[in-house]
Amino acid sequence: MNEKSEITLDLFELSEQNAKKLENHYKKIIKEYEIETGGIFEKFAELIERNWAVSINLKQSEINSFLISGVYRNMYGIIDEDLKELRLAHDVDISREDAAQNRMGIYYEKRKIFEDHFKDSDRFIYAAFNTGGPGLKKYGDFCLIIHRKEVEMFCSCAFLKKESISYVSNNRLNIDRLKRDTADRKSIHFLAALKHAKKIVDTPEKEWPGMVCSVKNYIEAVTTEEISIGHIGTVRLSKDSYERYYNYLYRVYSSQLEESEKIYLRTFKDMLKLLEKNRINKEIINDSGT
Amino acid sequence: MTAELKIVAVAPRDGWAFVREHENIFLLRPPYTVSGKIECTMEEVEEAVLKHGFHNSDNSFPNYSELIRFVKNEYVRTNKESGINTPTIDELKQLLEYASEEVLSRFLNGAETELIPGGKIEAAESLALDLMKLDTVIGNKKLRDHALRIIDKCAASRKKKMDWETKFEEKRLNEKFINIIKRYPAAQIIETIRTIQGRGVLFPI
Repeated sequence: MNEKSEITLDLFELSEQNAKKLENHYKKIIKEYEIETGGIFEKFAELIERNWAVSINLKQSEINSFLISGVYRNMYGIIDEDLKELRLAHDVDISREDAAQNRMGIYYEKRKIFEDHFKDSDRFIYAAFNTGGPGLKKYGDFCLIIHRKEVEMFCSCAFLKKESISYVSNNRLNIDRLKRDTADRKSIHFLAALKHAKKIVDTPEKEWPGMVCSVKNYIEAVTTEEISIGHIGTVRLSKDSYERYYNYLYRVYSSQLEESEKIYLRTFKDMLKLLEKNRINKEIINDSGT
Repeated sequence: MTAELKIVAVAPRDGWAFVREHENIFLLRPPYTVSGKIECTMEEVEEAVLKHGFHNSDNSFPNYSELIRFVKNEYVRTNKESGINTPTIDELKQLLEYASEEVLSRFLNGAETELIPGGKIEAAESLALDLMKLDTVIGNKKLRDHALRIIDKCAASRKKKMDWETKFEEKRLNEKFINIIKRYPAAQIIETIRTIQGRGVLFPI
């Protein structure tokens, strides 16, 4: 077992401390490549600065729970809720640590190594930096968009060039790399431009949102803010996922549905009703974000 | 014998599962088609478990049909445990109210090009009639006209079917009850047969 780290860092302070360095690095790069690239870096950074948002991808049951309870729960929030139910229903008392270990199995150790280094890490909510598109679709069809103006009101927010667990290897956190790779809200567009510097020139502008936020390569956003329904500007759903649901509905007429398919459709309908009730905008988009 | 398929992470309440097939990892989710299998990495599985609500798992299965049956059963079981019961067809049809014009148009095309030619006249008519009740269709001339055209086509198909059945029955009457045909008009006999059939009594022709 990994011993709990002696160092307790403040991720959000680290991100603020790195802001100036990122800006200087960015300025150096654009000066160096100014002629070759014809101002494309600046255009990219400006576009990012104007359009950025933070997104969380949820599966059907997760978004429905969120819309019913009104508050987003991170992994520990879900575990605490499960434990409460267990205690009430079966009078079973399991520690949060054991429940987390049981749920995450062999992967839990890595998460613990990361979180043990940081203050308030059990309140961390992990999201993705998003400038358009359906977000991290492999983890959920429904992409909750929290627009920049909302994120700017958050009590805390830090960005990491890569997803947080990738900073853990061989049972240790690479703090030096993480310190270099973090940005705050004021410097996120510099981090994004630097991260994608090599690809910006050769990637058509309409593909930039997909380049910035894809499962294989995204900038992670971390906050301790309690995310509620009021923070959600839009729920994005890719066109293929949306059509998948309606293909089932068509089959209500053309053939018969299995029980699982009926429940699948019912939960989708429940969500649409809840979105309408909460006046949350629904956007059906292509993968490119259009 | 080593099982070929293993669920390495699962989100039971959503019917999503990461599956290891030999050296490859795939994400499986409804409707569980071969073309819907998405290739993944172990890093993505790790992330799914650590941050995106998947549970670590090591259930093995000899083939995809058993694996999918397991995922579907777990999906139904966990949802029912959470109070999500199986809806009625009428409840599901409420989803039409949220459908885009594009989806509704696709439904009407399906009724016209698949259901009617496939002999599913009642299904096509029911679909068109359900759509006719929607504000989206009422307010869209193109969709409304399309739905009306389908209802007309259903009526025409039904008439054609009935004419064909009448012809067939006339032929059978002529063959079997030649003396009756001489005394009463065939159409009247057929109508009487249909009335009796409708009451659940078979007329032996």
